[in-house]
Amino acid sequence: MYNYRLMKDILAGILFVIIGSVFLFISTSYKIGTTAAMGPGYFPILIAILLIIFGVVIFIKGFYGHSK
Amino acid sequence: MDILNNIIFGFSVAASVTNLLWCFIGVTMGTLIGVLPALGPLAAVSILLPIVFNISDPVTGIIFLAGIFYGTQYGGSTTAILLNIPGEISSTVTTIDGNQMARKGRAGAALSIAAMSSFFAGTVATIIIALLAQPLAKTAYLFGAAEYGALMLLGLFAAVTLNHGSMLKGIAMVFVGILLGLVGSDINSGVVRFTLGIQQLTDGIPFAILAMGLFGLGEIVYLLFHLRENNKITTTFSDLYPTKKEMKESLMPALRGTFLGSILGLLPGGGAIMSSFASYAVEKKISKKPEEFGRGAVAGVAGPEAANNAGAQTSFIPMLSLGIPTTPTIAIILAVLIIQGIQPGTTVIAKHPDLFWGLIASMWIGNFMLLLLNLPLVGLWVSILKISWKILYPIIILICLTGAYYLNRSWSDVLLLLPFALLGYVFKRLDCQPASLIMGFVLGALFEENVRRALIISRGDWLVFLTKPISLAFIVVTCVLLIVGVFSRRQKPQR
Amino acid sequence: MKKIISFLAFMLFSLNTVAQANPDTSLILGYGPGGTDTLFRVFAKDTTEHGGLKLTVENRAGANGVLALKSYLQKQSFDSEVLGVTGGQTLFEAITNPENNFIEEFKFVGPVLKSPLALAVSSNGSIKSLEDLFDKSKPRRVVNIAVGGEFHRALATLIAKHSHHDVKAVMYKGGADATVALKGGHVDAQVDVYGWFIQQEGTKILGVAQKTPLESAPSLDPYIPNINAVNFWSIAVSKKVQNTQKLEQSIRQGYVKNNRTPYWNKLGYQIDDNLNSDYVQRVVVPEYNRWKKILVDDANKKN
Repeated sequence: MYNYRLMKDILAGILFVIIGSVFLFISTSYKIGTTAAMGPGYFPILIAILLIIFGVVIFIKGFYGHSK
Repeated sequence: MDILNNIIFGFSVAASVTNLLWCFIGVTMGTLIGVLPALGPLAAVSILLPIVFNISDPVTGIIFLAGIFYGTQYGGSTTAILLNIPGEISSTVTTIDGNQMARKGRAGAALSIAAMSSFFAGTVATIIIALLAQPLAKTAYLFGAAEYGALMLLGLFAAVTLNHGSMLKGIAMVFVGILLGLVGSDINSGVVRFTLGIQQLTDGIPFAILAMGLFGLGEIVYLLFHLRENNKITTTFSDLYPTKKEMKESLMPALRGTFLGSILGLLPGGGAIMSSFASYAVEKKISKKPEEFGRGAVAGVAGPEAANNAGAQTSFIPMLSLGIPTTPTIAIILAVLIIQGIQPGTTVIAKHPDLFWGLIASMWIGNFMLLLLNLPLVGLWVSILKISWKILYPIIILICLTGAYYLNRSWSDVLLLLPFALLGYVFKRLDCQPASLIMGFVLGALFEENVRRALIISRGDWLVFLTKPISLAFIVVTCVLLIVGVFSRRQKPQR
Repeated sequence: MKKIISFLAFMLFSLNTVAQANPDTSLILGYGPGGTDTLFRVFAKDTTEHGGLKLTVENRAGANGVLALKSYLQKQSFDSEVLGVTGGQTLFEAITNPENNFIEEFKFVGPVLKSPLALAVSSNGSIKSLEDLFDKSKPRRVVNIAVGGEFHRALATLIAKHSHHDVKAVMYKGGADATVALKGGHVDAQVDVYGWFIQQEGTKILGVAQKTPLESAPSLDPYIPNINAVNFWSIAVSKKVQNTQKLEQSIRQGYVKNNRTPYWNKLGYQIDDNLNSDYVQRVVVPEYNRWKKILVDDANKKN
């Protein structure tokens, strides 16, 4: 029912969310620290969250069938 | 004019029979090794190093090593264009449009343009080195953590433009790349991240493995799954060389690429790499036909190829004038000089003028030799594409596996190819571009390292990125690009 | 068909070049090119030229040297023809790390190079002397010390403890990067080995981390009592290698014939060529362990 091209977006979105979540999950076991002394977890958590957000956006775009 | 005298002197040194001979051997061997995926300048220099110690004259030795170094840049673009596999990081960008050109039957043209742009850049870079070696070298000192951080931010943003599909997917790919780049030891805390206990990953995922897996093998897996009769890359062999139009289109990008490469090559941290990526992003932004990028735009080959060659050559400047090696390969060359009793630094030009000027002159000679070598070889390279895919693809797989093994003489590296090949296949099916990922990979870890370092030095003050002039400049440029990017998307013209 | 064959032949030729370059004996280093790696390249060259043994250097950076050692030990079990050796400061680090248990697996075959850690500043920096750093009457200021490795960081942390200023160690990937930051004025000081700074123009050594001062470098002792942080470098092979006599001889011959001792001394390194392989294990390693404990523990106590 869905356009094949948009299916790619849906799947891509899911993939990104999965990758982001995996990294996010692992990152939480690292120290986060403060801004002046960022721990090993600070940056990865930030990027992983951003990735998940984008993954969701791409998924939604694919779902609602907007053109590229 | 003093410079002119020096240059003439340099040529007299470089044109001795021994030096010419070793220059030739160096560039040839460099090209050969550069063609092999995974083996780039670092591998080439390391492998051929023992030979250098048998050469008694240090000038000859460094001419040989330098030849290997930029020789590999030429070789690396060959595999990038023909097989869509970047032999080393700086060839990654060439795969985007270079390979597309090959698929459209313009393989010969792409190879020729790459060679000629590289030669052009090599020539100009040689002049730049001759004129500006000492003052230019000092610019490396201007870059502290904040400046680098801002530069990386700009680079990451530019990386998004490497995507010729959806912008959103491009950004997401950059993030994936960054996360993959964070795998390994964290320099600031010593904590090992995301390795899942695998010791071989303690130092991160080797770039070559990532690239070969995502690009080369992923591509092949994709093709194997979607076998169709017309899978063969069709090439019209009548047009081995570029048309006049293509030549014209490559001139300005080559010029800009040379300029970018010459500047970025001075910075520690892979000048040739950053140069090629930066050049691509710039060309795409400036182009009157940006939609061509990713489908075989000549500028997408000419610019980056010029940039990486210029970057490779100018990276000798900080090493010679200040004794600062900007990349591991240059560090090895530096070590060789030190072993032979030459201490690079502010006095090297005065104490060893034959070395300095001889090297500069030989760089030009070497580039010329490479041009002569590569252009006729274009026919040979292109005919490789004629080989039936049934034979070619297994060969490519074999080459990738072998290259992966020889990288560090470890089987685990070879095994690591598999998940990335799978990932590469998946990405290809979902229309996600690996090039943006690679950029994120290369820059991500550096970005984090520098931002953290800047914040440690400033004791947590984020304003440091805005108070330092160079850093501020980069951030302003990034914002401008961001705004321009958003606005141009709003008004997407109907094409 | 001809083209396919020539292509394959060409590829094989290239790979063969790669394979040929594999030497009889390789020296595996636990860090990347540049810096300390240069020392061992000198050794390799001398041994090849004058020692009668073809020796080349391979870099296998990572995990503070552990990766190199592990890959070397693995190789021993795969390939008995390749005699590998391994060298460097990281050797001592990895070996003395109780988690690794490497000490049981190695014996030393090379001379010992040593150089104490040192604190240096840029010639035109704002810190000019040790008093600037340790004199309590000076107004409190921010001080950033660049360091190229964990070890150097320990000394920097120790300095932070003894100084009333706000001192922090800033990590870089090796001495070269750290020195660029120093000369560029982005940090105020740097910790590395004495020998390193001797070769760097534009830097001034404020003090060395040992009780006795060296030529042109005072000791840090008055400010950090009983400090003793000396870096050692040496070469070791797996105990599984039976006959190391030829190897030891070649290495020794190499650098002796080339009269390297003055060369090393000029560069700021002392050489101890007691090649009784027992000596290093018996004397040097325990001493290394001892002061490492003091240095690192002391530095970490505040944290």
